[in-house]
Amino acid sequence: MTSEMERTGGPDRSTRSGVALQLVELRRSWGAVHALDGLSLDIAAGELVAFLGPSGCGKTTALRIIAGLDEADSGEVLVEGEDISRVRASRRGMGMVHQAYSLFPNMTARDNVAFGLLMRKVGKVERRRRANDLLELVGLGQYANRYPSQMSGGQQQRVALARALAIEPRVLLLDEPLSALDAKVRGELRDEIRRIQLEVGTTTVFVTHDQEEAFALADRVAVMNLGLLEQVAPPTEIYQRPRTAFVAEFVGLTNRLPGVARGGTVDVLDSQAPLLDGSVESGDVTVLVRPESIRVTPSPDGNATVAAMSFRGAICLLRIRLTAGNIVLVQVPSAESAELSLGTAVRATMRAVSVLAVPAANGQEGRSPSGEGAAEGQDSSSATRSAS
Amino acid sequence: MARLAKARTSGGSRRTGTRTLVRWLVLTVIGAYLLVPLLSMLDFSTRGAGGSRTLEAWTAIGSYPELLSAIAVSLELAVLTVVGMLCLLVPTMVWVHLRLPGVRRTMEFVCLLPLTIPAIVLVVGLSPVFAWLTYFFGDTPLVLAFVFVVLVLPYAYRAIDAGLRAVDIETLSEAALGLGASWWGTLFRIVIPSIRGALLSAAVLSIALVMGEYTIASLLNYNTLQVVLYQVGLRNAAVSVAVSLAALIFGFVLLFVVSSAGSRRRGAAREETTLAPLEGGLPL
Amino acid sequence: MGVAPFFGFVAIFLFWPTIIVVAGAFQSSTGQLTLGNITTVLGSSTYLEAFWGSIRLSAETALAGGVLGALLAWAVAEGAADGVFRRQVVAMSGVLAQFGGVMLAFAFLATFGYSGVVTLALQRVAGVDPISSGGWIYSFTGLAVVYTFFQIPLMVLIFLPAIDGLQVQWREASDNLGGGSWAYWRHVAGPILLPSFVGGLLLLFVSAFSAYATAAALISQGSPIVPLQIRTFLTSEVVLGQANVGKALALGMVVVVAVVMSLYAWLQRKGAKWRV
Repeated sequence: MTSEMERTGGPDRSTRSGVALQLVELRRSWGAVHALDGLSLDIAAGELVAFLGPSGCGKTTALRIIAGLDEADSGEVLVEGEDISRVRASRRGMGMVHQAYSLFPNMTARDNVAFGLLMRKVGKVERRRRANDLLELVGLGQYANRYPSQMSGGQQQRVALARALAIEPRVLLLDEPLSALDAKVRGELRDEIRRIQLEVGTTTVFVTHDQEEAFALADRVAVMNLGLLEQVAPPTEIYQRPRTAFVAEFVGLTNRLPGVARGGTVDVLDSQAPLLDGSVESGDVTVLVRPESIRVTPSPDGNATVAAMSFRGAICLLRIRLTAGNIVLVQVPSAESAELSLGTAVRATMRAVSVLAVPAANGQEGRSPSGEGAAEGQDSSSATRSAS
Repeated sequence: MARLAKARTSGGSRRTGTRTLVRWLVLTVIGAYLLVPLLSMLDFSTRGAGGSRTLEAWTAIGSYPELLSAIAVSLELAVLTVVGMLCLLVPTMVWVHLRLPGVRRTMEFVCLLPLTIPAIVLVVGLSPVFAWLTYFFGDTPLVLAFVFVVLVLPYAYRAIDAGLRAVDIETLSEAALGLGASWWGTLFRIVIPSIRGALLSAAVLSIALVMGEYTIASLLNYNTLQVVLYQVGLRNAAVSVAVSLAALIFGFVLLFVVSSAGSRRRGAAREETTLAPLEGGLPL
Repeated sequence: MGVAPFFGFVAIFLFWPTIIVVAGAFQSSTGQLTLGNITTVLGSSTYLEAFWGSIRLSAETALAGGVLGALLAWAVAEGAADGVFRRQVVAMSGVLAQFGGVMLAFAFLATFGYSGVVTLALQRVAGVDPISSGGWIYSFTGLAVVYTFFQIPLMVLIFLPAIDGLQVQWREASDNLGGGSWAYWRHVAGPILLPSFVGGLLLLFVSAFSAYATAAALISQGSPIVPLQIRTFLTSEVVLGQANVGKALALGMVVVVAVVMSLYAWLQRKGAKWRV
């Protein structure tokens, strides 16, 4: 299920609790390293925003500044319009889930969850009841008396989530909570987290380096790089209408192809394609094209030959060599690959999508993708995918 | 996780203010308790007539032949003890680790026994043993090495055990034996180089213990460094204080160098495990 | 059997002397089996006071050294994990913890003895008479101060790994959930560190109880602690018929230490049900 389907299926956003969160020009450096270089972002009440980016992009720093565990050098954090930069971490009313070592090892699951309530001087009976309720919410009602050392990683993170929710936080902060878990558990827990977040309706910030996770969970994805926000938009827009080369290449696979732009369109692969906002308007450009945006048909006088094929079930991945010499990665539904085989002459054209054009590198006509699949690609790689 | 390591003390600079203050207070006060005697040693051993500074006490060390020979004796004892400890412990521990895991608990218990049977107790029952030793080896203080090996067992065992656990000895030795190496060959070419750091730690701990041993040597009337140091101290305190300070500095430099070499290879936490043989305790 | 050399060696140089001590404690000077030595020890106020002195000294210095050492370990752990300062402190602790009794005694003589640095300073500054103030180092209190000197580094070595085990995430989680420093230490860090702390205290107790050299170097007259009592049996003329009382004293020491060590072992195993 994509987050879009989830959104239309879930409760109306206006009924969610949670607060509006604003980051204003946050800057944070450690010596020469600029962890955050002027990050600004508005998050609506009840929204789940994923901070996505490679290691060192500043996403965790931003989260910790929101939580109050770190202080920005300059800039503000506003909750419902109020500046909380001066407020202590313990008074911000934000629940946080760490990547690892989240739970207090000397307490049972129930006591862990009840800890925030204990800090708020809630009575013992009430604490117990609410902790039990929350453990039920995350599906661990039976484990209330277990210690963290007696639970699996996935179970521990569920308890950590329950603990964060126990204080009815204004904002929920998740710092790569699934990164330390097995792939299978990761998938299950990811959906759980989204389900719970929609049910409770808390404004949530989710930090991850995994593109799939970000897309599956978030209302909007904020792609970050080197301390700056590259683009913030719903997942489909991030994927289909990237604003910068970094976003286009960090998220999903991308080919770099030579083209000529003029007035709102670009000539690439013997076809014309509309340009996305932010593209270079005219002249020689490098066009960023996704593998599934290329159509390939057998044709004796085509512009490419099939260099490698990799059947993947529903889709087929091809590497085709253009007459100019570039190797291009193409993804086609398996049905369309029936007539293709190694060496087949084909015509590669663009499907009807808009593309992003960036300035062509000096003298180079653009580079070919490599990465997975056949060994034919000797040219330098520029097809990128998000690191997992 | 490098980010988390950097944010070692959580919280903004406001909160770490109090914490840092307390930290420096603790370091200063307790540091003073530990440093004042050491500095006093320096002052005491360099006092000259009428408040001047002199290295007389230090140079005078050379004029006490009994002190010099005692230093030699203790150094020889240290070497013998280290050699004895290594020859006794390393093959046995590796053998137990690889072939007789059932004996491991017993061996650990035995190696930690000297902590429960203090030197002062042991020395009470040592006379027959030493009568026998002097019969075989003559009246040399070097026979103390046999007992010293027992004394260093707890510390050496811990250090070597930590080293064996840190490296996957089983896989390495299986690979070596599978490739045709003999048991002793495996031991010397594969295992020992892998636990070099731990062996060094065990050696350093043993040297420190032997150089500082007084109880058994004095009560059995052998003239090791500490025994003679005490005797000289009764006549000329400054000289003894000077030697003590020298030994301390020597020990510190040695340990610092060893730990620096060690932590370059492993994490800091591991290095302390080998220096803290008592941490973790008896797995009875 | 590859383990024969090891066990053989230990049998000769550890078990045999120990058996001599234990067996000798139950033998009269003519070799007959008797409880006479034990009853002598238990019936004599001198010996009982010596035991009490040893226990008191060990307990007090274990507590003092334990608390101060734990604080120092905390202060050191707050800094960089692999920094030079920390390595220096650890190396220093390693050296000081093994700093032989005689050298330690001299260090304190240089500080607090009749012509010690602090004594003379006190005389200059406060007019305190060095003769009367310089002698306290030879008393029971003096011994306690000196013992604490090596208890602190020993505790640092024992306790530092436990402090390292405190994950920063626990502090952060506690902060986020509304707890301050007090709440964190009371509910999280305190309970987590307690078993290691108490274990450290027990080890410090054993270390002080077993110590001989420092006391031997400082106290030449009188025997307020058991090791010094044993000394008299080995160095001076022994009263006829009392030869094995020294062994009974030694046995008594072993019993006390064994009890504490068993307590320590039990604590390691059962101390915390939430331990992995």
